[in-house]
Amino acid sequence: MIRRILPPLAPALIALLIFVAFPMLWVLRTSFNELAGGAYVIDALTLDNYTRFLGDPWYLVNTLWFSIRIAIVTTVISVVCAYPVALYIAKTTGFQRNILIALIMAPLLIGLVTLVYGWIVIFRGGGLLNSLMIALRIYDDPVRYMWDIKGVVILLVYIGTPYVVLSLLDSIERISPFLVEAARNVGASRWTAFWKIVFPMTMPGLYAGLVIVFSLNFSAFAVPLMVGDSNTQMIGLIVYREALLNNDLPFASALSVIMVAVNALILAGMAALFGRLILNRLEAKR
Amino acid sequence: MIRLDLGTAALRLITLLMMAFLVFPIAVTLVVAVNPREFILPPNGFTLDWFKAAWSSQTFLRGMGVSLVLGISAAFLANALALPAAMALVRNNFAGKAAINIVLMSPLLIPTTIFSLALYIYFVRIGYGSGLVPLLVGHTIHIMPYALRILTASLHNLDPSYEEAAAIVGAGRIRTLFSVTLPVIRTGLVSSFALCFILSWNDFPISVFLAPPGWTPLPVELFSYIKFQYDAVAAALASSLILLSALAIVIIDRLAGLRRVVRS
Amino acid sequence: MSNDAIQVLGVIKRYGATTAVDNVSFNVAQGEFVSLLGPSGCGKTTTLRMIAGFIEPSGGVLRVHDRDVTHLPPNKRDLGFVFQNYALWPHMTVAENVGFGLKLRKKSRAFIRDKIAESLSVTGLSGYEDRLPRQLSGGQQQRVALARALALEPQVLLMDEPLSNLDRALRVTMRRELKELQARMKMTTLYVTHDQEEALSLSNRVVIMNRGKVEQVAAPYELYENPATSFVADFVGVTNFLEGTALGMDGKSVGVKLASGQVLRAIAKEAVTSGTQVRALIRPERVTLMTASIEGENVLTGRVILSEYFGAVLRYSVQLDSGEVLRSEVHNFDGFIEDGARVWICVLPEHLRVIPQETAALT
Repeated sequence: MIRRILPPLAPALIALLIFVAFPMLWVLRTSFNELAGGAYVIDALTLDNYTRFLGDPWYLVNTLWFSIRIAIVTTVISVVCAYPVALYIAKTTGFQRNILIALIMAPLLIGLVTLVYGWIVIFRGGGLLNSLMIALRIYDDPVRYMWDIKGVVILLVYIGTPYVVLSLLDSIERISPFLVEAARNVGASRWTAFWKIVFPMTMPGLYAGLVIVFSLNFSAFAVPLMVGDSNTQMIGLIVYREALLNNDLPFASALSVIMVAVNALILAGMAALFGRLILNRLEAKR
Repeated sequence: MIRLDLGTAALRLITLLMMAFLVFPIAVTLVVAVNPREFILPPNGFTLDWFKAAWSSQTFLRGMGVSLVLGISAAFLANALALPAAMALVRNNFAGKAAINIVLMSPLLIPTTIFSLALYIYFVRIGYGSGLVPLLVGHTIHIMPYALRILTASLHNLDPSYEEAAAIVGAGRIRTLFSVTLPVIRTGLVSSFALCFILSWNDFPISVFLAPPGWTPLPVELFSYIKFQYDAVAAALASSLILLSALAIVIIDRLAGLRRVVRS
Repeated sequence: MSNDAIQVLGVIKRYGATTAVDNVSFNVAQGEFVSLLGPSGCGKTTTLRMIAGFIEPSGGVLRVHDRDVTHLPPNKRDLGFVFQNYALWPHMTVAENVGFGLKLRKKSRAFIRDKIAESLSVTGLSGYEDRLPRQLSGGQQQRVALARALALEPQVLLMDEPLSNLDRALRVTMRRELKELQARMKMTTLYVTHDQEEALSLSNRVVIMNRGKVEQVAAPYELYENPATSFVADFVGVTNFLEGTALGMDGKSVGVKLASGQVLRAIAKEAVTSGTQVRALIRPERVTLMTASIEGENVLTGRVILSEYFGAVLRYSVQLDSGEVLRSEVHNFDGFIEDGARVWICVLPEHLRVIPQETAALT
């Protein structure tokens, strides 16, 4: 058996070992290194990089906590937006359905830069929204509108919602319509039927969507890079800046480690929460 | 499905709004790209000037060239790695199969930022820094799990008796692969390739970290451009990207069904 | 040097804790048509696929024409195989399907073309060279599968329930064609099926399998008239069973004492020890019902409890005074016997078989 499966699996596994496992380990190693003279990385075993970040309240609040907050907010908004869409698509069939799904998937398959650009066009000075806003006298200087937290939020929601829709759709479609009919039959209102039957059964899809989108948004760097400002220093962005602009690889590595750790922690929390929710539900059914 | 009437109408409305929301920036980009008045809407005509400018710009053409070659190479490599792995996974049941599956899918679990950084640091360490090889590696590894997923699904639906029939008439392993297996999963292969290409073509984070100067893929070029300039040439470029992606979406949908492909 | 085309010697296949094929042995002589017959899950397909080389045996030896092929890969065994689902390569035309093996053997283009034409003509599909499999009906696909196997002129042909995906009428037609073809070509054939009609009508000998083991290997007539076990008796055709104890043997004849105390005289194929638990078997068509009382040995009495009319055949269920239910099948009948009517049955010793009562329950 080993003889048969190892050769075909080997190239992929070796590639992953060399180009994923080792680099990740290397990041960990580098996070303990020092930056000498602002340019050279020298081997060391220092926690300076970590303390520099974790010991600085500015960083903690404006970067770490900020990233967490943004990720949570955008994820929640994405879910709220995605739910009705997923519910509706689940009811469609044929051509209408294919179109809807293609549209949902479009942002996923069109690059980040292009999508951001589209929003920039909408929001920039002289742009569409601008003209509209001025005409409606709501805002007379929306040129700044894009380049701050609102822009980041809008974009992260924009990019994340399709993932959630697809996740939920998967779950919703596994629910037999007879279950809802049975509930209606014994007198439940539509709303109750939804809350007590449909919603709980979409937990797996919801959970999957949450996990994907939270991780995506928490570690985002391209979006804050393109449409953010000094108030949106998300942790991913700092990693990018420190690594490529400041050449401070040790610091960037430490940040990456922190990022992964925090992300994992939060995901673990979510897993525990959802595990309990699902378990409780099963218990309650008895 | 569930028969809700007022509820359905409300859902439909919300869905329509959401779709509009999703499509809006894409539509705007496309409109601006052919609008003589650039960003001032509504458009007062139709012009291909912006497209012409975009497509005659040396920088963009080079970027497009880089992205094209990169996309094709990465897609090819990713599939070359994923196909044997998929075959091994589908044909056999062994202890640890689930674990190996997770390992092979692991690039999906790692945020692109960190993955790109890790590769960057790694290549710096071994003396490369940014470069074509790291760039290719980064793209290939990133898209490999997608290829694996599609190919696994494709092979799953492949009736093993096709290959048995080939064996019993005398075909060896290699012969069977090329004469029977690959042709039969042709559509899966093509959609895998198309998806991989598109993902590479549109990638930004990995390219930003790993692309060497002078070999900048298109999305990064576009980014640099729009950081400093606001003309509609960028819109034309972005539109080109959109149209190409749309083409790929259609191909994949036709061949493999879009949904199965992007699901986690 | 034996006359055997195929020798299966003590072949075993285990999947974890389950034994799918348990020490199976049989042989197929040159030019013979042998069927592997049994219910689903009995291991017949697994056995066939081990002979083909698609599955590795866990133990035992497989020989084809005296060559040990036990661990030989399938592409080196020079066997023909017809799959249950035909397995025609969908991206190749009929001609390409049939000629693929020949191409692999580097035959000349002309030779291949002729061979394809010949194989298609033998299976009645001349002119279909350029069709694609999806353009063919099930029966046509089956013929292409057969043509593909025959094109290589294999020494041995293996067939895995080739007709089970066809509708009944087509199955019967194809069956007859297969039989005729095999007889004409004198092709050694090993045929797997769960349909006893197929097995009995096509084969020179039948290997009956159950739960991974071989129950009996015999010619169809022998199988029907002299089943070796209860399973065979029940699987091939319909049988009536009467439980009892064996009494002394006298030549081939043996006495069976039923629970009711009545003693029947029967014929036993093998020696039966006095005192063992046995089953007496009688086929329904040998159970003749009399409405008037008769005297003599082997007379049973009872009441008709059910009658089923099938046109050419009439079946009765009779409850004996001693409690057991016998089934009787009548052809060429005049008049019906009513439910509840009292009947007398005389069973000829030649029609009564005795087999030991196995501890395992009938499947």
